[in-house]
Amino acid sequence: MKFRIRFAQQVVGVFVLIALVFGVVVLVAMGANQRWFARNYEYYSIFPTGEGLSVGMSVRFKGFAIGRVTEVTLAEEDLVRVDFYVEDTYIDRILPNSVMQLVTSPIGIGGGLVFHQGIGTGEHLEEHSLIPAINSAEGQRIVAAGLATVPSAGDDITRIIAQVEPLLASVNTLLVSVDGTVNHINKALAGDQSEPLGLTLAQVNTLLEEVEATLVAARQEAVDILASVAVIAGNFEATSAELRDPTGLVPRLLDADGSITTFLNDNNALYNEVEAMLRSINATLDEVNELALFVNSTQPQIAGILEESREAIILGQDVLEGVSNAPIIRRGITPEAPQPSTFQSHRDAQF
Amino acid sequence: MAKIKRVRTHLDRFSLACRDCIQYYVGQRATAVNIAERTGSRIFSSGEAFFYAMGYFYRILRESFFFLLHKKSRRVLTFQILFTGVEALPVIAVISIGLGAIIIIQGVALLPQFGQGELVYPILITVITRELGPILTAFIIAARSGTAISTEIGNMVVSHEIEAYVSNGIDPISYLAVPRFLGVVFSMMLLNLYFNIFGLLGSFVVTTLITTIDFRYYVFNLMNALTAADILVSLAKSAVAGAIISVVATYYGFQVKVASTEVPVMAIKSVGRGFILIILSNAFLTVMYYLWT
Repeated sequence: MKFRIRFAQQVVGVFVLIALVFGVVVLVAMGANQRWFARNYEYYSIFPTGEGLSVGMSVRFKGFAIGRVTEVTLAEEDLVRVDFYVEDTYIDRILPNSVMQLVTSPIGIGGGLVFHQGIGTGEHLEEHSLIPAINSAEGQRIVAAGLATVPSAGDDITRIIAQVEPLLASVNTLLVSVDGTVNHINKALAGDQSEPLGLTLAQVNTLLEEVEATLVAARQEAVDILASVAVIAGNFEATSAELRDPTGLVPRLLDADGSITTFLNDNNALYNEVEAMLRSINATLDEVNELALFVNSTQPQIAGILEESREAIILGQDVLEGVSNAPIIRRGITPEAPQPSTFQSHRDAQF
Repeated sequence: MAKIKRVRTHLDRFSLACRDCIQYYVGQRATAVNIAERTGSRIFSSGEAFFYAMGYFYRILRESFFFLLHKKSRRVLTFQILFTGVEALPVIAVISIGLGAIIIIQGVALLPQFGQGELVYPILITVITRELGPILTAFIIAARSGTAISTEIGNMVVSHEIEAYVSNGIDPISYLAVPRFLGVVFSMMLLNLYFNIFGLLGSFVVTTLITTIDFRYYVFNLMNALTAADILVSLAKSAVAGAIISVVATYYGFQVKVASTEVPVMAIKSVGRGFILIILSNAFLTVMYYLWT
């Protein structure tokens, strides 16, 4: 028989026991962690508004969470009732004349429901009693009478300053660093350093000397060029003076006895000669034009004559070929007396 | 005479056409009547089966009460817990350790990137304790023990053992179904606790091989994230799933009539119906939990 069958009761018993023990341990641990078995003391407070209040938010005393808000309700006269509990560990801190303060921060830091302990000794405040808000009439009376230990209102500012402090320290470190860098540059400029910055400055000095020598040489060359330019300018000046001279070339050309005037004042003799020549050329060109038109009009007739002549020649050639091949003709062709043609070529025509 | 014959021929054709039309109409009406009849019959049979199953479940519950009072057949109950609970423990342990380790490793790696590193504990509780723990355990038990129970009872029906019990005055429900019902329900609840042990603590051991998490810090956060409602709803889901598995398995086991070939068919049916009912009940309880909290 298998072990587990033989000892089935025991195996099942162990199986069940382990699970139950685990369950119990978990329940106890959970209860201890979540304060199932601890007693909570309930109190309430009245605030003018519920802004910033929520169920579950912690009630803090000197930075410690001593309880939690359990309920936020709208009470009579439009006031807000806040129910909360305080853990039994801190119940001795809940003394008479204590006040509650709702701390809200515009930048979201340091908000919460804060408990301010009343001054005095003795028993803790009775459960389910009112702990007035610090801005209520009762709370202000308690604070004004000095019956509660309310820390100064600068807590948030202090926290902000505490956050700003590291920033200032960083700025200070930066300034020290900048100071050191400036000193370093000063030494380099003074030539007291053999580091990269000092070497760079020395090279810059040498470069400046070379630039100065180059500028001196360039200046000498520029003086020579300017002298040449002055000579050219002198020549231009002489030419200009010649042109401005009243006895110079231009007045002579434009003089009343000059060549141009003489040429223009000949009573149109030259003009008339030129006009006659042009007329003669024009008439010749008209005749040429007429001749071209005639040749153009007679061209089809000439073409027809040439075509007929070509056909006649071909026929004559055939006849001659037939005659030369005919065996009957023995005596050839009777000779005829030549008779000159009345037609002459155009070349022989008389104009 | 010829005219009279032609008229008779036309009348015959007309009467045949009318007869075909009437037959077609009657046939159509008969088909529609058949469909309605079958649908109604199926609804009635389903309703009847549902009420029969409810009556069967009521009988099991009532007999369970007497079983717990008289403590008879304790040995059957013990063996049922052994087979269903103890023997399924290795599978449950492997699945839960793997699942828990994956959640922790992924949570520790990913969630701090969104500034939500502490969210790994509520996720562990939600997945291991409240949601996947009960349903995965139920699936394993349904596939493993549900089929075994329906097959065993089906074979007993085929071999006329049930008839023998009845003829000897032994109620088969109180003697066969009730111990299995109680055994599966108890085993499911215990296995769910073990799933949590391995899923929450065993997976931590695996995770320490890869990352470094302080054990006290881990347990402290876990206990803060865990609530009594989580434990209650988890146990409720396990108990309901166990009841479904055992009732469905025994019900389909008793549904076997005469042939041994019916046994595997009923076993398959019991697993399929069991899975569906487990999912539905799990969803219902989850909704109830969210409405409650």
